[in-house]
Amino acid sequence: MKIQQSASLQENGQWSALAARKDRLLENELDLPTAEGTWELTQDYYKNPFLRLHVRDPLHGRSTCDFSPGELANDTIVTTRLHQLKDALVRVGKWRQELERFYAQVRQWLTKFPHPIEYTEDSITLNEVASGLYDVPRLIVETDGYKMRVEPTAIWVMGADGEVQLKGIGSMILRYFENGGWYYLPIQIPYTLHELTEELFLDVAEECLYGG
Amino acid sequence: MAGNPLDEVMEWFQTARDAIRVTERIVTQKIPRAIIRKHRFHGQSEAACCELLTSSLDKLTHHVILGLTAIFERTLRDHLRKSPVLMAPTGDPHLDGVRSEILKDIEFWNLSARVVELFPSVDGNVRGLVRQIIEYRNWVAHGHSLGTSAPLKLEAIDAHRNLTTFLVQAGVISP
Repeated sequence: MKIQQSASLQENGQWSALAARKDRLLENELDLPTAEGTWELTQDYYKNPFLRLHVRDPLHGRSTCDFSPGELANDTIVTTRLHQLKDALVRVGKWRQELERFYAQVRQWLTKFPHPIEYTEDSITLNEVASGLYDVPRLIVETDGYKMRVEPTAIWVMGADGEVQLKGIGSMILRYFENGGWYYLPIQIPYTLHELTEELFLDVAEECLYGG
Repeated sequence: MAGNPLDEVMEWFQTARDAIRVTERIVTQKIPRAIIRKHRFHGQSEAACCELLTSSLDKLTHHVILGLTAIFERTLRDHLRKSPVLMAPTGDPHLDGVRSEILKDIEFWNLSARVVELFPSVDGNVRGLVRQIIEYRNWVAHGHSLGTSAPLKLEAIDAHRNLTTFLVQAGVISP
Protein backbone atom coordinates (compact mmCIF):
# COMPACT_ATOMS: atom_id res chain seq x y z
CA MET A 1 0.00 0.00 0.00
CA LYS A 2 1.31 3.42 -0.95
CA ILE A 3 1.20 5.85 1.99
CA GLN A 4 2.27 9.45 1.68
CA GLN A 5 1.99 12.71 3.58
CA SER A 6 0.58 16.04 2.39
CA ALA A 7 3.10 18.82 1.76
CA SER A 8 1.97 20.81 4.80
CA LEU A 9 2.33 17.76 7.06
CA GLN A 10 5.85 17.06 5.78
CA GLU A 11 6.83 20.56 6.91
CA ASN A 12 5.76 19.79 10.48
CA GLY A 13 8.38 17.39 11.88
CA GLN A 14 6.59 16.36 15.08
CA TRP A 15 3.26 15.59 13.45
CA SER A 16 4.93 14.02 10.43
CA ALA A 17 6.80 11.57 12.68
CA LEU A 18 3.61 10.79 14.60
CA ALA A 19 1.84 9.82 11.36
CA ALA A 20 4.81 7.86 10.02
CA ARG A 21 4.93 5.71 13.17
CA LYS A 22 1.45 4.35 12.28
CA ASP A 23 2.17 3.46 8.65
CA ARG A 24 3.09 -0.15 9.42
CA LEU A 25 -0.08 -0.66 11.47
CA LEU A 26 -2.09 0.94 8.70
CA GLU A 27 -0.67 -1.39 6.05
CA ASN A 28 -1.27 -4.48 8.18
CA GLU A 29 -4.79 -3.65 9.29
CA LEU A 30 -6.15 -2.29 6.01
CA ASP A 31 -4.43 -5.02 4.01
CA LEU A 32 -5.24 -3.33 0.70
CA PRO A 33 -2.06 -3.52 -1.39
CA THR A 34 -3.48 -1.42 -4.24
CA ALA A 35 -4.98 1.31 -2.07
CA GLU A 36 -3.38 4.72 -1.55
CA GLY A 37 -3.29 6.55 1.77
CA THR A 38 -2.45 10.19 2.48
CA TRP A 39 -1.95 11.73 5.89
CA GLU A 40 -3.00 15.35 6.26
CA LEU A 41 -2.68 17.77 9.19
CA THR A 42 -5.90 19.69 9.78
CA GLN A 43 -7.97 21.39 12.54
CA ASP A 44 -11.28 20.72 14.26
CA TYR A 45 -14.05 23.21 15.06
CA TYR A 46 -12.08 24.48 18.09
CA LYS A 47 -8.88 24.89 16.00
CA ASN A 48 -7.25 21.88 17.67
CA PRO A 49 -4.89 20.13 15.23
CA PHE A 50 -5.47 16.48 14.29
CA LEU A 51 -4.37 14.03 11.62
CA ARG A 52 -6.72 12.99 8.85
CA LEU A 53 -6.06 9.84 6.85
CA HIS A 54 -7.46 9.81 3.29
CA VAL A 55 -7.70 6.39 1.64
CA ARG A 56 -8.72 5.58 -1.92
CA ASP A 57 -8.73 2.26 -3.72
CA PRO A 58 -8.90 1.34 -7.41
CA LEU A 59 -12.49 0.05 -6.95
CA HIS A 60 -13.80 3.61 -6.49
CA GLY A 61 -13.59 3.49 -2.68
CA ARG A 62 -12.91 6.77 -0.87
CA SER A 63 -12.98 7.54 2.83
CA THR A 64 -11.22 9.40 5.58
CA CYS A 65 -10.56 8.85 9.25
CA ASP A 66 -9.59 11.48 11.83
CA PHE A 67 -7.20 10.87 14.72
CA SER A 68 -6.29 13.11 17.65
CA PRO A 69 -2.77 12.62 19.10
CA GLY A 70 -4.30 10.76 22.06
CA GLU A 71 -6.14 8.36 19.77
CA LEU A 72 -3.01 7.72 17.71
CA ALA A 73 -1.17 6.72 20.86
CA ASN A 74 -3.63 3.86 21.43
CA ASP A 75 -3.20 1.05 18.88
CA THR A 76 -6.50 -0.58 19.89
CA ILE A 77 -8.41 2.58 18.98
CA VAL A 78 -6.44 2.98 15.75
CA THR A 79 -7.04 -0.65 14.75
CA THR A 80 -10.79 -0.44 15.42
CA ARG A 81 -11.06 2.79 13.41
CA LEU A 82 -9.07 1.32 10.51
CA HIS A 83 -11.43 -1.65 10.32
CA GLN A 84 -14.39 0.77 10.19
CA LEU A 85 -12.60 2.74 7.50
CA LYS A 86 -12.05 -0.41 5.45
CA ASP A 87 -15.77 -1.31 5.64
CA ALA A 88 -16.68 2.25 4.65
CA LEU A 89 -14.23 2.16 1.75
CA VAL A 90 -15.97 -0.91 0.30
CA ARG A 91 -19.42 0.59 0.74
CA VAL A 92 -18.44 3.95 -0.80
CA GLY A 93 -16.88 2.10 -3.74
CA LYS A 94 -20.09 0.12 -4.36
CA TRP A 95 -22.16 3.30 -4.04
CA ARG A 96 -20.06 5.22 -6.56
CA GLN A 97 -20.46 2.35 -9.02
CA GLU A 98 -24.22 2.23 -8.41
CA LEU A 99 -24.40 5.97 -9.06
CA GLU A 100 -22.72 5.52 -12.43
CA ARG A 101 -25.29 2.85 -13.34
CA PHE A 102 -28.13 5.05 -12.10
CA TYR A 103 -26.97 8.12 -14.04
CA ALA A 104 -26.82 6.01 -17.22
CA GLN A 105 -30.40 4.88 -16.50
CA VAL A 106 -31.51 8.49 -15.89
CA ARG A 107 -30.00 9.61 -19.20
CA GLN A 108 -31.79 6.75 -20.92
CA TRP A 109 -35.15 7.64 -19.33
CA LEU A 110 -34.72 11.32 -20.18
CA THR A 111 -34.44 10.53 -23.91
CA LYS A 112 -38.27 10.41 -23.71
CA PHE A 113 -38.39 14.00 -22.45
CA PRO A 114 -40.14 16.36 -24.88
CA HIS A 115 -37.33 18.97 -24.90
CA PRO A 116 -33.63 18.61 -25.74
CA ILE A 117 -31.45 18.06 -22.68
CA GLU A 118 -27.89 19.00 -21.85
CA TYR A 119 -25.97 17.02 -19.24
CA THR A 120 -22.96 17.98 -17.20
CA GLU A 121 -21.31 16.10 -14.35
CA ASP A 122 -19.33 17.54 -11.49
CA SER A 123 -18.14 16.21 -8.18
CA ILE A 124 -19.32 16.99 -4.65
CA THR A 125 -17.83 16.01 -1.32
CA LEU A 126 -19.99 14.42 1.35
CA ASN A 127 -19.10 13.84 4.98
CA GLU A 128 -20.68 10.98 6.91
CA VAL A 129 -19.81 9.69 10.35
CA ALA A 130 -19.21 6.16 9.09
CA SER A 131 -16.97 7.09 6.16
CA GLY A 132 -15.57 10.55 6.74
CA LEU A 133 -15.14 12.59 3.57
CA TYR A 134 -15.71 11.12 0.13
CA ASP A 135 -16.47 12.56 -3.26
CA VAL A 136 -19.28 11.46 -5.55
CA PRO A 137 -20.36 12.49 -9.03
CA ARG A 138 -23.40 14.74 -9.43
CA LEU A 139 -25.43 14.86 -12.63
CA ILE A 140 -26.81 18.22 -13.77
CA VAL A 141 -29.69 18.24 -16.23
CA GLU A 142 -30.64 21.40 -18.13
CA THR A 143 -33.56 21.77 -20.50
CA ASP A 144 -35.62 24.60 -21.83
CA GLY A 145 -33.90 27.07 -19.48
CA TYR A 146 -34.60 24.94 -16.38
CA LYS A 147 -32.08 23.07 -14.29
CA MET A 148 -32.22 19.98 -12.05
CA ARG A 149 -29.40 18.38 -10.10
CA VAL A 150 -29.35 14.63 -9.48
CA GLU A 151 -27.41 14.85 -6.23
CA PRO A 152 -26.32 12.03 -3.90
CA THR A 153 -26.96 12.98 -0.27
CA ALA A 154 -25.90 9.97 1.80
CA ILE A 155 -25.14 6.25 1.92
CA TRP A 156 -25.98 5.68 5.59
CA VAL A 157 -29.71 6.41 5.48
CA MET A 158 -32.42 5.24 7.88
CA GLY A 159 -34.02 2.14 6.38
CA ALA A 160 -32.20 2.31 3.01
CA ASP A 161 -28.79 1.76 1.40
CA GLY A 162 -28.35 5.19 -0.15
CA GLU A 163 -30.15 8.36 -1.11
CA VAL A 164 -30.12 10.72 -4.06
CA GLN A 165 -32.19 13.87 -4.29
CA LEU A 166 -33.50 15.55 -7.39
CA LYS A 167 -33.00 19.25 -6.72
CA GLY A 168 -34.67 21.82 -8.90
CA ILE A 169 -37.70 23.74 -7.78
CA GLY A 170 -38.00 21.89 -4.50
CA SER A 171 -36.36 18.55 -3.91
CA MET A 172 -37.50 14.95 -4.39
CA ILE A 173 -36.12 11.99 -2.47
CA LEU A 174 -35.00 8.80 -4.21
CA ARG A 175 -33.94 5.88 -2.03
CA TYR A 176 -31.74 2.98 -3.06
CA PHE A 177 -32.05 -0.57 -1.66
CA GLU A 178 -29.34 -3.11 -2.44
CA ASN A 179 -31.96 -5.84 -2.79
CA GLY A 180 -34.68 -3.78 -4.38
CA GLY A 181 -33.31 -1.01 -6.58
CA TRP A 182 -34.55 2.59 -6.63
CA TYR A 183 -37.71 4.05 -5.07
CA TYR A 184 -39.31 7.49 -4.85
CA LEU A 185 -40.25 8.61 -1.32
CA PRO A 186 -42.73 11.50 -1.16
CA ILE A 187 -42.57 13.56 2.05
CA GLN A 188 -46.15 12.94 3.05
CA ILE A 189 -47.95 10.64 5.43
CA PRO A 190 -48.52 7.75 5.29
CA TYR A 191 -44.93 6.76 4.43
CA THR A 192 -45.09 5.08 1.02
CA LEU A 193 -42.24 4.04 -1.25
CA HIS A 194 -42.98 3.98 -4.99
CA GLU A 195 -40.84 1.80 -7.23
CA LEU A 196 -38.99 4.08 -9.64
CA THR A 197 -40.12 3.31 -13.17
CA GLU A 198 -39.40 5.33 -16.28
CA GLU A 199 -42.87 6.87 -16.17
CA LEU A 200 -42.62 7.83 -12.51
CA PHE A 201 -39.12 9.24 -12.94
CA LEU A 202 -40.27 11.44 -15.83
CA ASP A 203 -43.22 12.71 -13.74
CA VAL A 204 -41.02 13.50 -10.76
CA ALA A 205 -38.31 15.08 -12.92
CA GLU A 206 -40.87 17.27 -14.68
CA GLU A 207 -42.28 18.41 -11.35
CA CYS A 208 -38.81 19.17 -10.09
CA LEU A 209 -37.73 21.03 -13.23
CA TYR A 210 -40.83 23.17 -13.67
CA GLY A 211 -42.11 23.36 -10.10
CA GLY A 212 -45.46 21.75 -10.84
CA MET B 1 -56.75 5.06 22.51
CA ALA B 2 -55.81 8.47 21.18
CA GLY B 3 -55.05 9.49 17.60
CA ASN B 4 -51.49 10.08 16.45
CA PRO B 5 -50.13 13.29 18.02
CA LEU B 6 -47.28 13.31 15.47
CA ASP B 7 -49.56 13.84 12.45
CA GLU B 8 -50.14 17.51 13.18
CA VAL B 9 -46.40 18.23 12.91
CA MET B 10 -46.24 16.61 9.48
CA GLU B 11 -49.24 18.61 8.35
CA TRP B 12 -47.66 22.00 9.16
CA PHE B 13 -44.34 20.75 7.79
CA GLN B 14 -46.07 19.97 4.50
CA THR B 15 -47.52 23.49 4.43
CA ALA B 16 -44.13 25.05 5.14
CA ARG B 17 -42.43 22.88 2.48
CA ASP B 18 -45.04 23.89 -0.08
CA ALA B 19 -44.52 27.56 0.84
CA ILE B 20 -40.77 27.25 0.33
CA ARG B 21 -41.32 25.49 -2.98
CA VAL B 22 -43.77 28.14 -4.21
CA THR B 23 -41.27 30.85 -3.27
CA GLU B 24 -38.52 28.99 -5.14
CA ARG B 25 -40.78 28.86 -8.17
CA ILE B 26 -41.44 32.62 -7.91
CA VAL B 27 -37.71 33.30 -7.72
CA THR B 28 -36.74 30.88 -10.50
CA GLN B 29 -39.48 31.91 -12.88
CA LYS B 30 -39.02 35.60 -12.03
CA ILE B 31 -42.73 36.15 -11.45
CA PRO B 32 -43.20 39.93 -11.44
CA ARG B 33 -44.24 41.92 -8.35
CA ALA B 34 -44.22 38.81 -6.11
CA ILE B 35 -41.07 39.89 -4.30
CA ILE B 36 -41.14 43.37 -2.84
CA ARG B 37 -38.54 45.45 -1.00
CA LYS B 38 -39.34 44.19 2.47
CA HIS B 39 -38.72 40.56 1.49
CA ARG B 40 -35.39 38.98 2.26
CA PHE B 41 -35.01 37.95 -1.39
CA HIS B 42 -35.29 41.47 -2.76
CA GLY B 43 -32.23 42.50 -4.76
CA GLN B 44 -30.53 39.10 -4.39
CA SER B 45 -29.47 36.83 -7.24
CA GLU B 46 -31.55 33.76 -8.09
CA ALA B 47 -28.74 31.50 -6.84
CA ALA B 48 -28.51 33.36 -3.51
CA CYS B 49 -32.29 33.17 -3.03
CA CYS B 50 -32.33 29.42 -3.78
CA GLU B 51 -29.46 28.89 -1.35
CA LEU B 52 -31.41 30.73 1.38
CA LEU B 53 -34.47 28.58 0.71
CA THR B 54 -32.53 25.29 0.62
CA SER B 55 -30.74 26.11 3.84
CA SER B 56 -34.02 27.08 5.52
CA LEU B 57 -35.63 23.81 4.45
CA ASP B 58 -32.68 21.83 5.88
CA LYS B 59 -32.94 23.67 9.20
CA LEU B 60 -36.72 23.29 9.22
CA THR B 61 -36.37 19.52 8.69
CA HIS B 62 -33.98 19.35 11.66
CA HIS B 63 -36.48 21.17 13.84
CA VAL B 64 -39.37 19.02 12.67
CA ILE B 65 -37.44 15.92 13.76
CA LEU B 66 -36.67 17.67 17.05
CA GLY B 67 -40.39 18.43 17.46
CA LEU B 68 -41.54 14.92 16.51
CA THR B 69 -39.13 13.39 19.02
CA ALA B 70 -40.22 15.82 21.77
CA ILE B 71 -43.90 14.95 21.23
CA PHE B 72 -43.05 11.24 21.14
CA GLU B 73 -41.17 11.58 24.43
CA ARG B 74 -44.00 13.52 26.11
CA THR B 75 -46.54 10.96 24.90
CA LEU B 76 -44.56 8.03 26.31
CA ARG B 77 -43.91 9.71 29.67
CA ASP B 78 -47.59 10.67 30.00
CA HIS B 79 -48.55 7.07 29.17
CA LEU B 80 -46.22 5.76 31.89
CA ARG B 81 -47.65 8.20 34.42
CA LYS B 82 -51.10 6.70 33.80
CA SER B 83 -49.85 3.16 34.39
CA PRO B 84 -52.06 1.07 36.74
CA VAL B 85 -48.93 0.34 38.77
CA LEU B 86 -49.04 3.97 39.82
CA MET B 87 -52.61 3.71 41.11
CA ALA B 88 -54.63 6.73 42.19
CA PRO B 89 -53.81 8.41 45.53
CA THR B 90 -54.87 6.18 48.42
CA GLY B 91 -55.05 8.74 51.21
CA ASP B 92 -52.15 6.98 52.96
CA PRO B 93 -49.47 9.68 53.33
CA HIS B 94 -46.61 7.17 52.97
CA LEU B 95 -47.95 5.43 49.83
CA ASP B 96 -49.01 8.70 48.25
CA GLY B 97 -45.59 10.19 48.97
CA VAL B 98 -43.84 7.26 47.28
CA ARG B 99 -46.22 7.51 44.32
CA SER B 100 -45.61 11.24 44.01
CA GLU B 101 -41.82 10.77 44.02
CA ILE B 102 -41.99 8.05 41.34
CA LEU B 103 -44.16 10.29 39.16
CA LYS B 104 -41.57 13.08 39.47
CA ASP B 105 -38.74 10.64 38.73
CA ILE B 106 -40.34 9.48 35.48
CA GLU B 107 -39.53 12.89 34.02
CA PHE B 108 -35.83 12.19 34.48
CA TRP B 109 -35.62 8.62 33.16
CA ASN B 110 -33.31 8.56 30.17
CA LEU B 111 -35.48 8.27 27.06
CA SER B 112 -33.17 6.10 24.99
CA ALA B 113 -31.77 3.84 27.71
CA ARG B 114 -34.79 3.43 29.99
CA VAL B 115 -38.13 4.68 28.70
CA VAL B 116 -38.12 2.93 25.30
CA GLU B 117 -37.06 -0.30 27.05
CA LEU B 118 -40.28 -0.39 29.08
CA PHE B 119 -42.39 -1.51 26.12
CA PRO B 120 -41.63 -5.20 25.43
CA SER B 121 -44.44 -5.39 22.88
CA VAL B 122 -42.38 -3.19 20.56
CA ASP B 123 -40.23 -5.02 18.01
CA GLY B 124 -36.51 -4.85 18.81
CA ASN B 125 -35.71 -3.47 15.38
CA VAL B 126 -38.21 -0.62 15.85
CA ARG B 127 -36.68 0.17 19.26
CA GLY B 128 -33.28 0.34 17.56
CA LEU B 129 -34.55 2.74 14.89
CA VAL B 130 -36.17 4.92 17.56
CA ARG B 131 -32.85 5.06 19.43
CA GLN B 132 -31.21 6.26 16.20
CA ILE B 133 -33.86 8.99 15.88
CA ILE B 134 -33.17 10.07 19.47
CA GLU B 135 -29.45 10.15 18.68
CA TYR B 136 -30.23 12.33 15.66
CA ARG B 137 -32.39 14.59 17.87
CA ASN B 138 -29.43 14.95 20.24
CA TRP B 139 -27.17 15.83 17.32
CA VAL B 140 -29.61 18.52 16.16
CA ALA B 141 -29.86 19.89 19.69
CA HIS B 142 -26.19 19.79 20.63
CA GLY B 143 -23.84 18.68 17.89
CA HIS B 144 -24.56 20.08 14.47
CA SER B 145 -23.58 23.64 15.32
CA LEU B 146 -20.08 22.35 16.12
CA GLY B 147 -19.62 21.17 12.56
CA THR B 148 -19.98 17.47 13.33
CA SER B 149 -21.70 15.18 10.83
CA ALA B 150 -25.17 13.77 11.42
CA PRO B 151 -25.10 10.22 12.85
CA LEU B 152 -27.06 9.12 9.77
CA LYS B 153 -29.32 10.57 7.07
CA LEU B 154 -32.84 10.96 8.31
CA GLU B 155 -35.88 12.74 6.89
CA ALA B 156 -38.90 13.90 8.89
CA ILE B 157 -41.01 11.24 7.17
CA ASP B 158 -38.63 8.51 8.46
CA ALA B 159 -38.90 9.87 12.00
CA HIS B 160 -42.69 10.10 11.78
CA ARG B 161 -42.99 6.56 10.45
CA ASN B 162 -40.80 4.85 13.04
CA LEU B 163 -41.95 6.88 16.05
CA THR B 164 -45.55 6.15 15.02
CA THR B 165 -44.83 2.42 14.63
CA PHE B 166 -43.38 2.41 18.15
CA LEU B 167 -46.42 4.18 19.63
CA VAL B 168 -48.80 1.75 17.89
CA GLN B 169 -46.86 -1.38 18.90
CA ALA B 170 -46.60 -0.04 22.46
CA GLY B 171 -50.39 0.29 22.54
CA VAL B 172 -50.20 4.01 23.20
CA ILE B 173 -52.12 5.07 20.07
CA SER B 174 -54.49 3.34 17.66
CA PRO B 175 -53.11 1.88 14.41
